[in-house]
Amino acid sequence: MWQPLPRHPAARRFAFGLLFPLFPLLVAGCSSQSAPGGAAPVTPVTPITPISGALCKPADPVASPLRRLTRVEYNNTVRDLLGVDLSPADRFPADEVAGGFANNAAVLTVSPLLAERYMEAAELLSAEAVKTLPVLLPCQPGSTAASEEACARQFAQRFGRRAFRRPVAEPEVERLMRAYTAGRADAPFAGGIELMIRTALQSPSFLYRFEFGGAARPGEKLVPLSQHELAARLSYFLWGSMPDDRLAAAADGGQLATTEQLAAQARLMLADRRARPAVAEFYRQWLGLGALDGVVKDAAAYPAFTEELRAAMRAETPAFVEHLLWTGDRRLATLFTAPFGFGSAPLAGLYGVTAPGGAATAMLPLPAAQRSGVLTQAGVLTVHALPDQSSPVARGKFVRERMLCQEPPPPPPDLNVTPPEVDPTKPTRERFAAHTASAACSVCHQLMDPIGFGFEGYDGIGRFRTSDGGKPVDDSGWVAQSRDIDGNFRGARELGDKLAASAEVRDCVATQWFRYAFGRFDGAGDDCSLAPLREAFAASGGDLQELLVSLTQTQSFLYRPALAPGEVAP
Amino acid sequence: MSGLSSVFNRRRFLRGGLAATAVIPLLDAERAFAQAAAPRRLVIFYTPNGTIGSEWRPRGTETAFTLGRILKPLEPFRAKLLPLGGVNMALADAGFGSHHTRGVGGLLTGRPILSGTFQSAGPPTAGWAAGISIDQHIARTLNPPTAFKTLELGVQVIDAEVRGRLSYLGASQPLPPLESPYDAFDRVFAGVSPAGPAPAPAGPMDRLRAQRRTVLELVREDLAAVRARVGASDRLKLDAHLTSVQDIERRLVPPTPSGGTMGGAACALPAAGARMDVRAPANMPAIGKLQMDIAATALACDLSRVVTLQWTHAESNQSFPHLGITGAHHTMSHAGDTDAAAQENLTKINVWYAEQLAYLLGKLDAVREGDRTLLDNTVVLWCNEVGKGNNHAHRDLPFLLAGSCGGHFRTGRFVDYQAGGGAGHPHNNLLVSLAQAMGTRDTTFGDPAHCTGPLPGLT
Repeated sequence: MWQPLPRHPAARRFAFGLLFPLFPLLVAGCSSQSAPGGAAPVTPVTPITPISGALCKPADPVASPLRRLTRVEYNNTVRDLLGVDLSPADRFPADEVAGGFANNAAVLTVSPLLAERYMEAAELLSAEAVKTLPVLLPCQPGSTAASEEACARQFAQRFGRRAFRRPVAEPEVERLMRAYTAGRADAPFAGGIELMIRTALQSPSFLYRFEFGGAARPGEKLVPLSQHELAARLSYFLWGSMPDDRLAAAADGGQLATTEQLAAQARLMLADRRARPAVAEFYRQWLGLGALDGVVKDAAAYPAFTEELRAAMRAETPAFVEHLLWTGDRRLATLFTAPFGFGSAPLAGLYGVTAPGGAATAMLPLPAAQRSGVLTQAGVLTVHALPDQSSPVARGKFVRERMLCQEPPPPPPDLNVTPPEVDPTKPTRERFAAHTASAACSVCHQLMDPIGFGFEGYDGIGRFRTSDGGKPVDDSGWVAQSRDIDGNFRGARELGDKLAASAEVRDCVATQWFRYAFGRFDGAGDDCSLAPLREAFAASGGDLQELLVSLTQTQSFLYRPALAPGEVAP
Repeated sequence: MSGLSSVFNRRRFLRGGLAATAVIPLLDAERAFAQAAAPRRLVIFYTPNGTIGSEWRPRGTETAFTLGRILKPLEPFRAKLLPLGGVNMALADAGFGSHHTRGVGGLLTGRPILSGTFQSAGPPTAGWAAGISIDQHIARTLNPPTAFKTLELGVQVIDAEVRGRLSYLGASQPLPPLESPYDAFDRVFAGVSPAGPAPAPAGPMDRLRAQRRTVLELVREDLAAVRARVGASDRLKLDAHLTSVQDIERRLVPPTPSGGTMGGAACALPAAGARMDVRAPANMPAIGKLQMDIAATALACDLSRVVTLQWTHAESNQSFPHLGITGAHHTMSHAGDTDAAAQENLTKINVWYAEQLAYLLGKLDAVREGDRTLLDNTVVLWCNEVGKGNNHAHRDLPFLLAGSCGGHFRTGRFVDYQAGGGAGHPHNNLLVSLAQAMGTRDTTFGDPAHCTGPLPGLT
């Protein structure tokens, strides 16, 4: 059962467990395939530190860089703010990516090009918004200059409050009123409002999520966030958008003051439809599905890979996530093992089942021996493959990086890493065998290929197969250098069972959500948040919704680091 | 006009890109520069993943050389070329991230990259580049009176981290290239009509321009207010934002009485066919051509004097279906020297890039400026973040200059700093040479430990 954490998690003390011992480089499972006496020992991967025991050691808090709205967040926010559905951020330059996520604050800046796009988007949106002016206005402008100005001032306060996600200060109202005056000078009242909206949409207080927090007590390293900052954290975390009126009112009323209140809010928000696409966006990025839009397949090798099929693959994962988290059992284990998918005829055909017809994302019961949750979804298998064949390397690396949070090093110089040419008389596995047969290659490839071999039952677009290169598929694989799932397995189905049972994978999923939620990498100073988060996730039996509630209970959610003395400009 | 121009319809003139209210005196360079000294221009032409040295490197002596397979498409411009041998980038040999991230981050900045959190390129993991890039430095120093101090154009760059960025305003301030030629056209040529003055009535344009100035002034005040309350690293971010806003403001000037006209054919707006998917690999040749057309026109019309054209990104796994190459470029570039099939494909890719460069050079050389051509008044640098894909060497990088930059460089020569056993020169020196060619007084650039002055023997 998930348990609420104490009000002040910082007060809890945790200690690190012993550092995870480095595993022997070559494990029994593959040593027979590795050339003897080869490469010098290296540390290929750094597993995430398991934090055992109930104590963590407080370290200096990790910096929490200023977060700029992502393209997804911008589109959602202007939709909720103005009631117009124009998605202008689709024309913004791509958000920079770090660690697999396109929301890492450290790398999101405002280039001249983006500033220009902000200006154009603000002009487009404000013009669209004032077409339904009465809906926006909290008052009747009347017919005199004075009554108009009074109404404009009310609007500045109300709209500024929503656009900046906090009450506006008097100088901010004055600046918005200067925009009104400029716009009203040579146009009707709506022209003044339009310019005010334009200004607000280009203000840093709209484009970034400032977290000033309360006053830091001398000597304290952490500053509690304000009520409105917590509301914005909740809404961007769970909805990918601004707080709605109810949440904003809760912040106004100081109703986000305890971890219990935050948990209750989080549960309410997760029950709202807006949570579904926002949560699915994490899974899309985590599973590497951003690459699906641009993935290229060799038409001769995969004539079935049509635009229709690509669209069906794109739609499946969000539908699956939505089902699992809101209709299904919400378990992490099910994420890796569920024998069902979602799609219409083209995807059903790929899975070898009959589409029930109707919705484009109808539930598809799949052959249980062949399919295992997200691991075997066609989109996931398609992006982790080569244009004309599968890729044990890419698929093994995917599991190693995204599910185990381990980073295999890049290939060393002067190696032939050209994927072997497709040979109709040789199975993929045989053609990739050089990686594990050469000592220089196997040092790293034993981390990836043996896991990837377990996916050999699926071709480059995720279709199940029993023969490859004229021979029966050998989908036996093994896992090495893991905390708790080392050993042999056969096929993605058994790999799914391993991942579902692994504490290391469970901790990694919590870590990935942590990075996504906070838009930054975790550091030592986060241990007093990560430890209880992982413990709560474990205690809940891997409940994927409760994991999100638990995230709102962490020290990292409630506080930001205090600025160093003298760091703030005078 | 059809194609690209038709995308840019009248409605967008009235609610247009920045250029719609930033109408600047457009020059018909062909006519204007016949009388006055033409400005000098810089074009950076970047392609990734190294080359095949044996096919790239000219054979022979400084003045009597033959071009290998890769440079062969540039043969028509031979007298205007200056291929270089023995220019090294030792600053990228060690440090954060991969050889590719260090190479691309150091290429135009002349500094080792910062540490950071790009885990895809480690360990130890890479951050952004550590300083201003040479293109931005030149533009900032010379402050040319053009609508765009610099233009960054990309072709299927896609990657949005350190591997995909060439130009920097400063440390950790990368400039994303415009990857859509349709957006680029809109941004660069809005407000420009081939038929004469800006087509939108002056009144609405003046009004929009005034509104933009008002709004941006308020935005600057907002930025200053929040800046005072944040820590040092966030302040850097807001400063970069402020610079971006000021860049827009600077362009919001009313048209001068003599401005807003385009006359000569050289300054004619480019055209293209129907809008296509800018990210589909099969469209790469067409998208690249459009971006080169826009770059050439922007230079010919003196809309900008510093242009970067970036093809894909460092470590790019681009496929080249138009060359019959479905394999992934970076993966292929790791192939050993004995992998003949891979070497042949890599050569083909680089030959194709040389053909693209030849197309661009041809466009520039077709524009007359007095007794010279636009190409003569330009220096184009073809560069790559590594020398050789399979060992990631940062030695003897495939740098090639084209165009003399107004007579500054003595072209038609193969200058090999390794000839006769020479040790070669750091590539920072090449960056200094580019800055001097453009007219700055720089004697050093980037990390001083990697710079000893301009490259010798080029002028």
